[in-house]
Amino acid sequence: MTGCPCWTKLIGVAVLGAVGLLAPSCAAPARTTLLKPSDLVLNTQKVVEQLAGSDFLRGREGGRATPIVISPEPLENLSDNRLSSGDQWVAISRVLLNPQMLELLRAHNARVQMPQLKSEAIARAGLTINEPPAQVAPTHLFRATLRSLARAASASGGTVASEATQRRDTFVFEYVIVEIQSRQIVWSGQSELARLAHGSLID
Amino acid sequence: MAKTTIGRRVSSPRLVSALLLIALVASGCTQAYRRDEQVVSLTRQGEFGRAREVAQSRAIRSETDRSFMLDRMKIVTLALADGVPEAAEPIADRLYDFLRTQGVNEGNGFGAFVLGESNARVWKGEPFEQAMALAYIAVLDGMNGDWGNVRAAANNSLFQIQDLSKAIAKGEDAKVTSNGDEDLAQRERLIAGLATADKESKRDPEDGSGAAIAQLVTPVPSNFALGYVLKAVATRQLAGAFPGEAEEVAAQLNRVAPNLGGLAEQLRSAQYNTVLIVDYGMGPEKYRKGPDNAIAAFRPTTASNNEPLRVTAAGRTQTFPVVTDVNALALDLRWNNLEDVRLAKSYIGTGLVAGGLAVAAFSNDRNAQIIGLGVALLGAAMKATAGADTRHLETLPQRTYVALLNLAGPGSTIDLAVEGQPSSRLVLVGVPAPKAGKLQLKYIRLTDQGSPAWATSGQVFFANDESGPLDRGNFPYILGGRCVRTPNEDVLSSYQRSGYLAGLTFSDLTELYREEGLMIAGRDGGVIGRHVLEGGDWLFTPRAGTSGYARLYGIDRPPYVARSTRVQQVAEELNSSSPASRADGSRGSQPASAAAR
Repeated sequence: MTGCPCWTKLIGVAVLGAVGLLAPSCAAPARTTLLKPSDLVLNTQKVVEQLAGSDFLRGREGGRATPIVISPEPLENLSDNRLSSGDQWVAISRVLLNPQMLELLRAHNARVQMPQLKSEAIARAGLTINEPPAQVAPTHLFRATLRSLARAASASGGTVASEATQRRDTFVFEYVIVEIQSRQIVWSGQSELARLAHGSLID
Repeated sequence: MAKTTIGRRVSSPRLVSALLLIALVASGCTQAYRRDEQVVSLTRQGEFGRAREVAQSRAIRSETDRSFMLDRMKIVTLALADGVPEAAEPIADRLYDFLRTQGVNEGNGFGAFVLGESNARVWKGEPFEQAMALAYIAVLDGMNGDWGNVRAAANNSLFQIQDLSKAIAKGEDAKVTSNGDEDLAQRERLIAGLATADKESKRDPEDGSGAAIAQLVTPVPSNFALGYVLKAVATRQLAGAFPGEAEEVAAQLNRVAPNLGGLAEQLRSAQYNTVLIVDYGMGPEKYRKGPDNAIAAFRPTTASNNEPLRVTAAGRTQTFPVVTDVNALALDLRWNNLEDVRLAKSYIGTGLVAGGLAVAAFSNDRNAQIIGLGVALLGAAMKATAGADTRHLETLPQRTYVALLNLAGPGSTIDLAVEGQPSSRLVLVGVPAPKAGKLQLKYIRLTDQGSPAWATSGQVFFANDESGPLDRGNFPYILGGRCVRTPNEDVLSSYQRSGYLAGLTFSDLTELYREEGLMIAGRDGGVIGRHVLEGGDWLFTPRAGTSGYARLYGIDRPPYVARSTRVQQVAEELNSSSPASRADGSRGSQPASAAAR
């Protein structure tokens, strides 16, 4: 006997079961509102544009302005999401060490001086920046703060918030340059982005 | 015996064999999780370095393995106990991202239902385990003084929990089968309540969609006291960025845990500059019970009680209450997960097996027989996989205390013990006070077995990055001295001022460590392993004021056994040419043949 139909029926049942078991959704929704590297890239561009158009730089007449040295401080995370120490420095250095930013600052007689350990880390990563001599003390500080607003809800509109299936985080990056001697804020910039995620928070 | 056929000429004996196989499958064959008893034992005895090493060596490498994150949670807890948060920081970063990912097992509902929890995508832990993991990440950040991250992680540990009392009340009249097991009885009432809700809403009583849960469960604020404490501590340090929040969080703590009113008041007063997070005992063990071993239950390893933590520092003795009892969390249905799915699966499975066998055995219709066997196999598979997955974070403590102290001076001695538990006593020496206006956080894991000598010696036998040079043997341990500070220019200068290593450059000194194959935390990459004082290959300094610091430096260690000819030569020259090395109590170096490493 050949091609026994009963086995094809068993196989058919198994295939139907497997489809039910294993069929993934085609367009998976985002599962986390945590910031991704691409978010920081977007953030950088906005801030560079703000600094380029700022009174702080416009008031510095190119190469004739008094040279200044800007040193970054660690990002202050005031958001509802933890940011690893590495990512905190990425958020700062992506802005301050952006080639467009460095060129902009250099054209206005401002140089960037990274904290020593960070310089070493940057060098190990194969990146180079033209830093001023170590004995030149910074004149300005570059500070950043991250804040956020989080909202969670049930997609079905039900009452089971512990099975909340949607979370929206709005992140705000605030940047300032502070003159060390006068403690005056000479420039501030800001960028905002929102992230939405789906799925049970605790499962 | 009348012959029945299935497919080709399958005889009755073959049908009986198939049915027997189904019965075997149906006997419940999901493997139970094997607790790492060696790691548990080492942790209880305070051998955190060895426990960390074992956990690291046994950690699953495959990211698709269900235990991947569980193993990483263990490493984080043990790195904190060992006073070396940097050993686990990259892991903590990843663990946080994972815990904050929503719907990790979503879409696996049907898969998990049929294939068993063990085939669900990843283990994320019971809700209480997730909360504790987030709290430990907050503690790690606190040890680094990153108060923004402490607040964020602590905040995330305070997710709402689900109150099931309405569902349980609905099943109050259920005929429970538990025979005196109240834990099992409560779960049976829960299932009965959910089934009743399904029936009233005209859903299938064995509906596994969770609609009944959505109908009957009430989300309530978390009662995770440790999370509130950490959040209040962190918020206070953020220089007014969240006005009023610290007081509000202290008030929330008071509401969920009125017995911690005193602690809440201390948090509000902000009259402290040092926070000790102190863990004691071992957390509960997860095991299976009930029909088809479908229920995951917890039983204590260390018993709960209300013994306070007694702390003597700066001439003052204070007591602090238990902040979090992990046994209590584990036994609280609000902090458990997936129970309804497992139980429902068990009952459905039993029903399916009975129905399937009847069709296969008694039908003369070939198609019905095939379908019957298929249904029976499905039911048997469900029964076989109904056994609960008993994976759990076995390195959790049984309880956590929080002590708020006001230290002054360069190096305080802190004496801690759980009242009534002399084996828990720990003496921390040389704990520096933070700078004015600053706060420091220390994590301490107390032993509950063994009373090791280092725990109460009150001494520091080896110079380290926290202590600075000692008054004797101020040259490297690898050359016969008593110094295990991280080599740098200042440290070399200090050796030379003490009369050692004259003429040696910093490059020469670094090269000696390289010759021995030793790695230095903060400079060399890789997972930080065992310390050179314990025969390992790493040089690092646990944070002062931690159990890890006391463990490493609180007892004398055997002399270092050099591996390389160069280091042997230098050590011999040093010890023979320098009378000071003999007079100040340093040991001479041992030749490589004297003892194996």
